Amino acid sequence: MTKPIPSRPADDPDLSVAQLAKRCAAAMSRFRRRQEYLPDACYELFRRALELQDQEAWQAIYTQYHRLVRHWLGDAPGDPDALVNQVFGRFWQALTPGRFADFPSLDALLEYLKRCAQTVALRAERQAERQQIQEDVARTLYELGYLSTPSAWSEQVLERITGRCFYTQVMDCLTDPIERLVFRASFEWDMKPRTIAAHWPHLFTNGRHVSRVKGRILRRLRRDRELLNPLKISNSDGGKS
Amino acid sequence: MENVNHECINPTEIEEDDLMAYVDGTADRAVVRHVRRCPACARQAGELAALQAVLRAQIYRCGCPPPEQLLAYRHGELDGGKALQVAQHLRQCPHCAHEMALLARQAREGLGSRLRSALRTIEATLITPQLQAQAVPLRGQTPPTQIFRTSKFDILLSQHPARARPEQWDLSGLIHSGGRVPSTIDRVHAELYRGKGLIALTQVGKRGQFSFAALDPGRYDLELVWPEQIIRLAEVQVG
Repeated sequence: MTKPIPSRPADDPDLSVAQLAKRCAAAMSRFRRRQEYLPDACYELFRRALELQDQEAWQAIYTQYHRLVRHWLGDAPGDPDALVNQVFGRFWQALTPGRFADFPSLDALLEYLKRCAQTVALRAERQAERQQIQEDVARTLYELGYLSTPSAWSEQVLERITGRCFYTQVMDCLTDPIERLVFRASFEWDMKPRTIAAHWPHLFTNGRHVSRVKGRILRRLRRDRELLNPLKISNSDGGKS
Repeated sequence: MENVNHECINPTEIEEDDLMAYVDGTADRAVVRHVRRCPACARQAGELAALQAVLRAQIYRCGCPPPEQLLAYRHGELDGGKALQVAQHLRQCPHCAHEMALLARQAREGLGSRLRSALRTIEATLITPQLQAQAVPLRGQTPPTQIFRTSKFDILLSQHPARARPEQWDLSGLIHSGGRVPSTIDRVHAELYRGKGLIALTQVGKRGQFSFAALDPGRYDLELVWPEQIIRLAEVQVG
């Protein structure tokens, strides 16, 4: 592992942001080549940007590290520049001047910057997954005749329903642990019946067994008008709403 | 047989459970043929499919901890109660387990912009008979200790029924090198994978011990992560 060379910190406070940025760039170049490097110029840049709120230093930080942040974001869906900006925005908001002392080294700062990138990347992935599911659901409901157009799903239903409240209500109705597991695995984790049976073979003999439990759950939900009202799904006597 | 509804063209051909199986694609061919011929059953199947679709849209991952919490868990920053909640969630949610596996891989890259090829993976060899996946221990009987070996280390794995839920298992491990605790053991943590998901991780103790509680029966991969290397124990049979 590449180690930093012990530094001469007294030099750094006398340097301008431009000089620090140049030294930092040189240090990071050595770091990437797994050579010994001086971290102090980079650390001082971060200190001026975060503790002293120096905008010029902040711009230098962005210039120096935006490519690294882009690498950490990997294939996260979305506009890369927007995601990078989100990462730096999150980092800036979290590392207030009072918190800077909690990060005594460049490694600690970069680790936290990486965590910000990982958070943004995971959020972007989850959002993209949700978006895909919404589109799948809209297409299904449209093909079943419940929607006049696929986009009507988002416009009409999403505005009225808070997913978390409905989830809590349903879970309160399900007291059997097997039913709770099937409900969560089917809808919260989007697992198919055969996958559920394979994941918990000691609880389910096959996919058909899982379907049977799920059918029981849905028949009970369909009878509960209060639960279904926000969703505008017909109850057991049929008829689309 | 319980009738589906009075409009069904032939209620004797189908049970109430069959419609859900039809929607899920797990029904047998006779049920599929019936639903295709019966407008009433097809309508009911459509309603089930619609309800299922709506539930899927509204509930998908709504119980998952936010990414910040997964990261905090990974870095050991959550208090006991919260950490336990996340740990329990990881045992069940394949999506969060997959995200944790991704975070584990990224941690091995370090801070650099290039993948660290220096972190080598050593496959440990099982030197005791592997348990048969279909074998079920007799009541009160625990599976024998499994011993995995590399050129430098022996890793002993034992399991016992979990106290709170006997259908689950507690897995305990011990790492030693020539009968002694490895000198760098304080830097090692253990990661437990099921499929592609990282479902649990724990720090190895100073005596080389580690444990995972309340595991469902099945096959797992265990990775012991040093700063410079990973020792991988593939297909550890639990239960």
